[in-house]
Amino acid sequence: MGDSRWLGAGMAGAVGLIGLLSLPDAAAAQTPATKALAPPCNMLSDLVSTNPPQLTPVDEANKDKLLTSGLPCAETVHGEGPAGKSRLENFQRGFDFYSWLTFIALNTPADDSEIKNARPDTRTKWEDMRHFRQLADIMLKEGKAPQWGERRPQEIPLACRKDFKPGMMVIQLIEESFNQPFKTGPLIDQNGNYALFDILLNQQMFDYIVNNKLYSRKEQMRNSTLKVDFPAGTNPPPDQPSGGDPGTVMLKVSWKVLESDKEKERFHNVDALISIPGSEDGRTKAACVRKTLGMIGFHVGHKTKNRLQWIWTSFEHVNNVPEQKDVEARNLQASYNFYDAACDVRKCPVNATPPRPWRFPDPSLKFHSGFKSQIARVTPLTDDTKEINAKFQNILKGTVWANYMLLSTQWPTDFGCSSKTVSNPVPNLPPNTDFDKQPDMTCAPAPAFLANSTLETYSQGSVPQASSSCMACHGNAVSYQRRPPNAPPDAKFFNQSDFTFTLEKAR
Amino acid sequence: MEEASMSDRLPEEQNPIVQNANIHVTITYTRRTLLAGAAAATAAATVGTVITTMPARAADPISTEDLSAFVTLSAALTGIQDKQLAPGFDRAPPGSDSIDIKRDYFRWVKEKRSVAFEKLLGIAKGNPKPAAQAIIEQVQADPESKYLARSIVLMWYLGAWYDPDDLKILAEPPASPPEVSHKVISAKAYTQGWVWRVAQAHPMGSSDMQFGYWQRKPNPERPDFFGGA
Repeated sequence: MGDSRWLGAGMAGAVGLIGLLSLPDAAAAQTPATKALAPPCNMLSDLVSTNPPQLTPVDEANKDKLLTSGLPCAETVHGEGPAGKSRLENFQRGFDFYSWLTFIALNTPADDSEIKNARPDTRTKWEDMRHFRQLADIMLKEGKAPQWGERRPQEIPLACRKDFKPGMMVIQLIEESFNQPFKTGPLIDQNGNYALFDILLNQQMFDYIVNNKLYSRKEQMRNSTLKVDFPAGTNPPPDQPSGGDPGTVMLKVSWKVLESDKEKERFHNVDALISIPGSEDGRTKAACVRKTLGMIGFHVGHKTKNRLQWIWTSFEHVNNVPEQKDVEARNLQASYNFYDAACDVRKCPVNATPPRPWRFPDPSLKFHSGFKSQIARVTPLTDDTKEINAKFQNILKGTVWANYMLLSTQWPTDFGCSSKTVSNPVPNLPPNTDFDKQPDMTCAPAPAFLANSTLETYSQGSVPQASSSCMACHGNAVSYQRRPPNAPPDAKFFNQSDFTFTLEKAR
Repeated sequence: MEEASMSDRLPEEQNPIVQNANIHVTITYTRRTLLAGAAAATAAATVGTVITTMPARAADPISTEDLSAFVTLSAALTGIQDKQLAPGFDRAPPGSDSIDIKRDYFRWVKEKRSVAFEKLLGIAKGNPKPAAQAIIEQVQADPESKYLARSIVLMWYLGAWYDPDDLKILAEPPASPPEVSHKVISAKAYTQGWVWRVAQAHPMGSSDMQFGYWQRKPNPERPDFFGGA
């Protein structure tokens, strides 16, 4: 189904070439030059001093520095910390601090103004196509080569062109835009609307895909001896103030349809066009709807030199869902985005998937029945994460960004394993990641499980190989491989693809 | 797990841990781990001084001292380095082990055999590192401790609990129980059994190895698989 929808959307894009000359030039109408996210690399860490360990104050005095220092190119973390904390807890706090800096840098206004002055609908850095491109704009019809930069008119789905204005978010629906990983089901908000999901890649990741022609399924198969190895982020060398590179950054974002002005004040929101491809049989035509979408979830995957399994950051809106223990204790708020406190558990079973069929959304974006998701968070946030959230939310007070919280940061704890590169490096293929025959290529992630209530809703928990773990799941990601001569005609073969499922979307 | 043997090694590299008509578990060591590992098993035939000292204080599962003693003891018994069994536990502050199966195992053994466990911890505490051979000799010298020690070895390798009383019956002919039962301790323990790692394989239904690993031959020179440096 995913393929056919892509095909539909792609065809719409191709047909639209006819009207190309009559369209406004999106690139030309764009805002002036924007600063790169990095370098300079944000080198702040959660410790000001390691001897004795002293935490970096997250307060009014440090606010400007914390909100304007940019994107970390790599983590700066320590095993030391306050008395009574384990090494694991100290590193976790460091990674969580890194995650907040990353969240702030990516959500800083695209026009380089300060985040402390941002309005709910201020366009962010990651929403500016000069910093990130959506996956749908990279994996083009017939495996054509994508181009970096602002969206060109021909890249806008035909049905959306008449409503498109420069700076608008355009989301091209595929099955993964509304159905959760492993097709575990859609998420339906309390207004009966589908939650929507989107994936974006930064330029380093884009360039690697283009340089190795990984946007094309045919080229992937032709080049199937390639060990996919995206560039890793590095801080500048010690004693050098400049240099460094953020390496590969990948985002997955979840959205909720906002239906009232009051709602818009609580969420970072975008003016979006949602492209809904026509059905294969031609019964349903391609459509485009304009909606205001509010951000409800935000994943960041960042590959760094010492964390070749990537660092996985997950944020979400504070009003999404209650924790399971709050549900059991009936300690509930009046309203949530995905939980009805007034609904009895017999009528609204917690964490149940919607009734089938899980059809492709129609232009109303409403689910076919009156079903609304009743979701609770299975794994509570740790006290340490709650503490760091409170500090950062405090310095973001007055902006919509104070309404977001870090769930956790997953990172590989086995440092010997996590930075292992091959002993016979291949030229021009940094960082020469070595996962061959690792007993655990995920290098012991912490926390062992991590789920966002809007993005891994139905796989929360702590069952090995079943519950959501960023690294354990993405470690199974693959790309296409050449078929052996004796293989059945329809058989597909795959290679590892360095912790990203995006290459499976090549066409 | 009724049998797990690797017979394509030199005889001196094989080291039977538990062996009788019903259960035959053989773990293959390389020379790198021979000292600690072989000592754990061959000491079964060695009888030394019986340990009579016993700590007065009950074992505390969250005590760093007790946990450290358990890791030292486990490393001596299994032949797997302590830093592999408990990553980061030798650093200050200790512990960067996100899986932390050692704590689960500690609680489990304490619940099952509290008194004998106290004795074993006492042996580990009384023999500061490196003391694998001394620990093994003292464990084997005490009839009450040595079968619990074997249960602990099996626990680390198989993620399952074999009762020390059953192991004692197995080891002391002519008794011949028809079957020795065991219990998989938890889903996490099932995935963490070292037997899979030593064999460069994985338990059914759970693998964190790289996609396509099955195309590559096992590499005997990979110490991270068998618990070496």
